[in-house]
Amino acid sequence: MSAIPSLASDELAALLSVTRRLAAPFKLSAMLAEVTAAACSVLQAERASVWLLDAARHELVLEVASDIRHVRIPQTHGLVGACVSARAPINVPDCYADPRFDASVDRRSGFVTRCSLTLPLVDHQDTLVGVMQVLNKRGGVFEDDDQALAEALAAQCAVALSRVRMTEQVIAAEAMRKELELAAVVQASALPQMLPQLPGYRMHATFRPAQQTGGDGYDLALVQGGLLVLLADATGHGIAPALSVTQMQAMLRMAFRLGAPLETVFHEVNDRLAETLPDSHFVTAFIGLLDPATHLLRFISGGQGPILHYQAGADAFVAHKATSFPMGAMPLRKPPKAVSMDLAAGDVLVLLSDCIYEYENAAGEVFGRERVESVVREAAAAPPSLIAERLLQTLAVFADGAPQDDDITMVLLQRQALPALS
Amino acid sequence: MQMELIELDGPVNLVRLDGRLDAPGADTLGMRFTAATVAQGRPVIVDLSGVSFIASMGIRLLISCAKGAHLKGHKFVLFGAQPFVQDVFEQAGLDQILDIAASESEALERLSA
Repeated sequence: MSAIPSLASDELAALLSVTRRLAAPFKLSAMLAEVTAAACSVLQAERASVWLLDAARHELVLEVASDIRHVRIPQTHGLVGACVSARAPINVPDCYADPRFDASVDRRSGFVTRCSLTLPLVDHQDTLVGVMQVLNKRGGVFEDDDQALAEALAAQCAVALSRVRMTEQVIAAEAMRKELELAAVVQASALPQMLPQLPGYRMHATFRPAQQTGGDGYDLALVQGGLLVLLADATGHGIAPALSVTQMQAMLRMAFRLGAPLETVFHEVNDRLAETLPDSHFVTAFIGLLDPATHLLRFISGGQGPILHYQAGADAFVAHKATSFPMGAMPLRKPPKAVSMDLAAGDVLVLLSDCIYEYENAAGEVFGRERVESVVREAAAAPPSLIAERLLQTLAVFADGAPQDDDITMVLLQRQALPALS
Repeated sequence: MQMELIELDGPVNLVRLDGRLDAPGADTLGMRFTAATVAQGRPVIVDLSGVSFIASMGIRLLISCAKGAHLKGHKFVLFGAQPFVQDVFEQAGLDQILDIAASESEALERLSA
C-alpha cells in the first residue's frame, strides 16, 4: 500500500470520521451507504459503488449506488472484474477508451462515466471481499494522492464488511438454533408425561428426536373407547411439523375422550389437516383403539407402516400395511375403513417410525423389517421396555457410527402372557 | 437427482428420474419436475426405474404434482418402481392416491383410459 503523502487536515479529519463510524456495529446496507457517501466526499467523486464478491457463484453483486440496486455480473466482467483478477487498484482517466470498461451499467442508469478509480477490498485475513469504485472526479481525473486516500478508505471498508458479514452469519445461526430448540420443546410438551396403567397390558414408548426435530409424535392414553394408541410422523423438520403433530394429538385426545367413533375421527382429522397443512405436506399416523375387555384393537393407519403384530402362539408376525394414504395429503373421498387386530396373551404390537426401518449404515444397507422382527421375536417375553432397549442396541451396532438424521420413535404394546398353570 | 424430459407422440411427456428421492434429491428436482409434470398441461408418465430410494419429501413432491396434474385435468402416471420403492408405496397406502402402473406400456394405456 502506497504511503500517504501530506494529507490536508480536513481530508484526514474526514477519513478519521469515517473510520470511527465504520468501527461501530452496522447493518450491511447502512454500512455500504456510509462508505459510498464518504468516498464521494473525500475523493470528490460524483458517484461511488461497492460490489460484493459472491465467491460461491463467482459473481460480483452491486449493493449500493444511488439509483441502481442488486445488479449481478460475472466476477471477471468489466473494470471491477479486472480489479478482482489483478487484486490491485485500477485508475482509468477515460473509461470509454478502455476495452475493459462495461458500458451497460451506464446505459441502464443514464449516468455517463468519464473516469474511474477501482480498488479491491481485501480484509485483514487477505480475503478479497469486494471492489470499491469511484467515478467522475469533479473537475478532473483521479490522481495518485486520490488513490492513496482511496486505498486507506478501502482498507477500512474491507474490514468493516468482513465483520458485518460475520455478524450476520452468527445472527442467522443463532436464529436457527433457537427455532430448533423451540421445536424440540413443542414436540416434547405434547408427549404423555406418564404412560397409563392398563391391567393385563404393558406398554412402552421411546422417543429419540434427531438434532433437527423431525416431526414425530406418539400417544398412549385412556379414553372412552379404551386405550388410544398413536404413532405419527409429519413431513419436514423443525417447528412447522412439530406443531402440526401436536395439533393432531390434541384433536385426537379431545375427540376420543368425547367418545367419537374411530372412523369419524380419522376422517375429520385427515380433512382438517388437508385444509391447514401447506403444499402437500402430510402426517403419517397409526391411530388405534384397544378395547381391553375384548382385547380387540381396531385401527386405521394413514400412511404409517409396516405395523407389526407379533403373535406369541405362532411365534410369527403379521405385518399390516397402512389402510389409508398419509393424513392431510388430501381430503378423503370415502369413509375410511378400520382393521381389527386380536391381541392374544403374549402378543406384542410394534410401531416404529420409518427412520428405524430405513436406517442406513456406511455400507448402504438398511436396517429393514427382518432385523426388527428377529430382535422382537427373541425378546418377546420380556417387558416392552427391554424389547425397545434391544432394538436400540441392535440398531446402534448396525449403524456403526452412521448418523441419525430423523426422529426415532417406538410404541410397544404387549398383552401379558397368562400365568402358567402348575 | 437427475431428470430427463422426453416428448412422446400425443403430445405426452415422459419424465425419467435417476437417483435418490430423499429430501436433498426432492429439493434439487423441485421446480423442474413440477414444470415438466404439471405446468405444461400435458399427460405425463414418470419412469421411476432409476430411483433407488424414496422418503417423505420425495413422496410429498409426487403427491403435490399428482394433485396439480389432477387440478389441471391431465393424467399423471408413475411406472417402473424398484422393489424397495414399490414397497414404500404400498406400505404407506400411496397406491390409493397415486396412479402406479407396472410398466411403460401399461402407463401409456392408462393415459387413454
